[in-house]
Amino acid sequence: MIKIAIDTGGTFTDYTSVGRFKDQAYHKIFVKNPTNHQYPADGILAGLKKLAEEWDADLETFLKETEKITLGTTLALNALLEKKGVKTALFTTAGFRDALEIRRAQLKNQWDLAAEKPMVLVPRRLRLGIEGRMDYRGDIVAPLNEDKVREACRKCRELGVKAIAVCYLFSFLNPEHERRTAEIIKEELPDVFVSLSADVAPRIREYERTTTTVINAYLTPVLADYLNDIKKELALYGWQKPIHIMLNNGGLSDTEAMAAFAVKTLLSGPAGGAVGNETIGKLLGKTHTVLADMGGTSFDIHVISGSSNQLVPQTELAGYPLSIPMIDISSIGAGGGSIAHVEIGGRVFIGPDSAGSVPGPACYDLGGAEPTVTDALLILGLINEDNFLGGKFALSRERAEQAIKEKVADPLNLSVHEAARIIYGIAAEMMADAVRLVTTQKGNDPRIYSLISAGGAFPLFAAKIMESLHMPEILIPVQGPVFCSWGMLGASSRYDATRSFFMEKKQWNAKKINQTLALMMQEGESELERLSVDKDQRRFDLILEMRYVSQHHEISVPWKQGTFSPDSWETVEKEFYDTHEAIYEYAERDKDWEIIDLHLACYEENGENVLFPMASQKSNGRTKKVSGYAFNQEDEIVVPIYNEGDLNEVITGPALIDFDYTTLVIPEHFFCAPADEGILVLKKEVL
Amino acid sequence: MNQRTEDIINRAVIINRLDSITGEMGIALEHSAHSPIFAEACDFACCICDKDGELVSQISGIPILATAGAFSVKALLRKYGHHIDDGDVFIINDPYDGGNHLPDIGIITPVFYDGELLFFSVSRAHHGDIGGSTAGSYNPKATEIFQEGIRIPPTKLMKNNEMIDDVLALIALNTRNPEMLTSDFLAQIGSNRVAAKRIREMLETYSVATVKKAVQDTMEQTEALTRQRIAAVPDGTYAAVDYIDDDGFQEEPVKIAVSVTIKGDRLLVDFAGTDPQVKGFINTSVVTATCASGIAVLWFLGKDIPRNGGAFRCIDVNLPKGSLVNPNEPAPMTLCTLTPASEIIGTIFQALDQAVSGRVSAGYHRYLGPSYYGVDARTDRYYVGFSFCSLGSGGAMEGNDGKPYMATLSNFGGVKAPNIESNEVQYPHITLYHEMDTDTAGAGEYRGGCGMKYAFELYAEQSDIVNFGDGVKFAPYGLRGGHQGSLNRSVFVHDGKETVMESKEAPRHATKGDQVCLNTSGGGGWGDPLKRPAGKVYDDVQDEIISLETAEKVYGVAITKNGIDLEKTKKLRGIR
Repeated sequence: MIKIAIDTGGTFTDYTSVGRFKDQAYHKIFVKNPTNHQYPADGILAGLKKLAEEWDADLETFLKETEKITLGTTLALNALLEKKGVKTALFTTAGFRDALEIRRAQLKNQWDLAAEKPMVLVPRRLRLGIEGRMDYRGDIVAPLNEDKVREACRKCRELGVKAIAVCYLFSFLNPEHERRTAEIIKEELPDVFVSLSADVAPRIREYERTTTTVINAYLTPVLADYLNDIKKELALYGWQKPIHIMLNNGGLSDTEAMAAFAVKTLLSGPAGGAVGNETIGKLLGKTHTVLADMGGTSFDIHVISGSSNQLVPQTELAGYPLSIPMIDISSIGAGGGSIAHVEIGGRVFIGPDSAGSVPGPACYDLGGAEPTVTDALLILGLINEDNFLGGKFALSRERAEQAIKEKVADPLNLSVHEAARIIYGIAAEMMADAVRLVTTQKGNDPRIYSLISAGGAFPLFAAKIMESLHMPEILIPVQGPVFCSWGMLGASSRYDATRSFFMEKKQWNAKKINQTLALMMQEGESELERLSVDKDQRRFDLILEMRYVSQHHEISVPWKQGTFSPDSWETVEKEFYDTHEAIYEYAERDKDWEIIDLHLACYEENGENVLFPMASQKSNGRTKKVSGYAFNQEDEIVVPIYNEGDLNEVITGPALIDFDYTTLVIPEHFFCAPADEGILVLKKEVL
Repeated sequence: MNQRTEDIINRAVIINRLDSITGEMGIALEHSAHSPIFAEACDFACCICDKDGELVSQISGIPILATAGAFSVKALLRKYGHHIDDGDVFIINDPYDGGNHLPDIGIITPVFYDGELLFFSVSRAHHGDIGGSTAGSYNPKATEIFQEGIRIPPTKLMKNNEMIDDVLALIALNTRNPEMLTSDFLAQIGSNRVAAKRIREMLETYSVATVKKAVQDTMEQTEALTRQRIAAVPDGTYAAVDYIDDDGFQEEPVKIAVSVTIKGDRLLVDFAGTDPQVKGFINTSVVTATCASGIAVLWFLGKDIPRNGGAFRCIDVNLPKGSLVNPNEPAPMTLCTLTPASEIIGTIFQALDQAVSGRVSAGYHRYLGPSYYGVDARTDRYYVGFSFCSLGSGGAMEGNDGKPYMATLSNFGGVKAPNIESNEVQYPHITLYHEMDTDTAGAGEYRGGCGMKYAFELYAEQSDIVNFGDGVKFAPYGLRGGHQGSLNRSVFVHDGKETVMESKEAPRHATKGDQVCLNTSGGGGWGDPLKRPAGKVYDDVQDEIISLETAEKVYGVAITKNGIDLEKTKKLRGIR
């Protein structure tokens, strides 16, 4: 049987598949197909047909031989970025209807007076205050005014609202008013989608909780329609099994659950990369890995320190805070399409503006006049002009030269070639800095990490970055260009349960915490049951969100010792102090602490995944004239080009390796060798 | 590779790195600090200065604080000169010698490499209490700085990386929450240490000479850019005047007079004509007045100018001795980072708007709200709370409506208002309402941000509140035909009886059930309200930002149940 994973990207959708078709040999096949933004479900179907062709089958026969389909989707994220969610209303505690709009007064850039706050997703007329109030303990101070709820529903009906987010103060402690409100809405407006903050993000801080809930309400009907379309279309070809959806937390759920929680799919694609990172580490016995994925518009990094994925309890996306656990991806605006510009005075910047795929880099000759990283790569001779993106574009060297000359070389009074070096050099160092931030900033030394190369553009920079960070090696998997979809093949079911739980050290009560934990376990067990996870495959990890009593921000402290005993507090305390010191360079080991949230990850032990083999094609002694800069040499040099079929022995730099969709630069004093099936390792010679 | 190419790459890389280091300092400080005023509200700033105290990089934090770090380092250098060693850490807050106001305490860590002093990492943060006659350190009735808290000249706090316990104890003992103060010093020291470590890591990769050259080139580049921008502004002298309500003692308003003279690539901000120093705590330290002038001018010159020493050295400031903006000791001045710093910025904006239109905003709200303190019966802990939720809104700019719910201009975009839920967990009060207030936004083609209404009820048996701020007599100004925003107002309710509070009050005792009700200013408007598109006016009515009456009377847009009445609107707007 076959497993399929699909990663929908901005330009291309990647389809990866492994298994045996009927009784044939074991195969691993991936294809890239352009993303269909207008009819996304049709796009997926077209891609699957293409994939089936690669297996020499029609889609119906192919699906008969398929056991699992996993889908990574950017639909929710794109709808958020493009503000194409549904008309949404927000019910809030009366007197507090503006949290969503007023935000918390802080701006990213304090030096830009005209900076706009991100768009408010629910206009004020659709933010409706409802009487009823809980206090800081979750005790009811004023009862819910049900007439007001019905009145608000009438208003929503008049205005054609499609979704309602409900977020009342302190509902994370007592959801009673929110639940009753949902019942009334169901009676009054049975077709409207309702999302409660107590279900989406039951944690303190109403601004962040409201925003997360509103985003969920705003996006879910859109995602639900799409998933429904895919289900129907695949059913036409005989597919009756579940479609697994890749989640922000690196786990899988199904279309049924995601028809209520679109917010959990915002990082669906990159999450596949995070799982892939973990898988490569396990397969190769590496405990500390950094996945670096350079695409067209951004450079994404994911770090694993000690084998398994850690989540962050909250994050920010497109200017909106999200109070739900997510994989810890950091991203900077450095991709192939990032634009270089020179400030008056001569400082050079790369990004964050990007030429995107339309008009794209100047060399695409689609009307782009700004010099991009890709243009510089072309000038330096590092891009395979004849087979760029699988031969999709014929690149114009002339356009690239012109853009770099006008916008970078002339202002600096340098040659086009020198300007291209500057763009390449700064882009490489920006990426190195981004990796530095997520390693050293968390107290981790980059010198003990293996760098895993993914995305089409990264292998061109990999050696420079490795050198700048003194990293020992780079692993280059042949499936790098489709890494996220490959990673999804190894993902398994997961459910994150979060509870607000306040307990100070001096109130330590093991029984109370165990009781709450038991409820969370129950919740997790029933969700894993629903997702058909075998009992002996179920795993549960607990994280305590903790801080000093007088602090305002919590840190995540993993708890690996099962249930709590009356004297567990000593271990909890030590773990907290140690974690605090590791992050902030100090700990006060005599000060009181508190727990504020419990977070329980409930998941299926990760599935098996397999590596992809190299193709057999050899290069037959081809060579190319390139700029020496990327190869640690001064002048232009002639380097040999290798293909995948040449890679069963050590290759020393300077050299280029041509893969499908990407090229690896091996500078002087570097060499690369096979590390495992379909994985190369690039290292520096010890001189 | 050619040397220039290498220099260009190094410069970009090293400056990016320094910027990301200051960013990292800020995150560490925000997340590990204890005082709500700087952990929850982010009232702090971090920077890196070179060995001469020139500002090299600052990212995170509050504008008025961000640029003040350089003054503290220069004060330190004046006192300690060549007696600064690796492993030392210094502390400073005296506003008469390198500080901006007493509650902002600077911690300065020299960064050495191979025995050479190269940089200082600096964090400045507003502490919850620094002693003085009033908890929370805002005392509107102070007449001397001695009543406002402990004054710390540049002082050594650590030696050989060991705390000098006597110094720490001396400072902590003079405050109401010594434990929290100590924890927060540790957070600041930790944040500085993060920066020092990162800078040394950078020096391991690049030589000292390369880093020095990159920093120097960047400063020169920034200066060149700033001078070019100044030169592009028409030569001339542009003057404006604005007023502060009062100083808490005198009835009369206090005048700020500013003239900005531009000649070629030189720019002078002159405060001649500003009122003499006053009795109350609205006097302004030299550091605050200079920083306020610098940040106002740079906002006008462009968001893309790096805020480092290279830019600030292009702006000359004249602060007459004995005036409000350069008082003689021991005048009190704790309010100065809010008022008059924000009003100084606003006055400079009004002056510069005459030179080039469209670059600055109409008036922002002025801060007004209480601090409250007492013992929290729920925990038996002593608390001091600040009313960070009593923010008003921003002024409009050409092309943009004012932003709702912003800090005052001096703190623009830096302060993070707390959540209502966090506030209620932290302090013994319950919030009654907190939302935008109809008909408070200054009208205009682009209108101001909508002001807020905010009220809370205290349920502690006994507590005290101190109301302080400004803007109950002078409203945020409009620009180019835009209208003023609304005034601030604060009311104290005891036994159902309402008392309008003054903007600078002595502490007021409160008992269980007392309420504080605040209306904060909407921002000023930009341009003629009759030019605001009728569709936007209609939306504002639907959203209850403005009333039907205002739509008709001020904006000339008639709205009925069926939508906009086009005929009547045309008539109101004088369109045939």
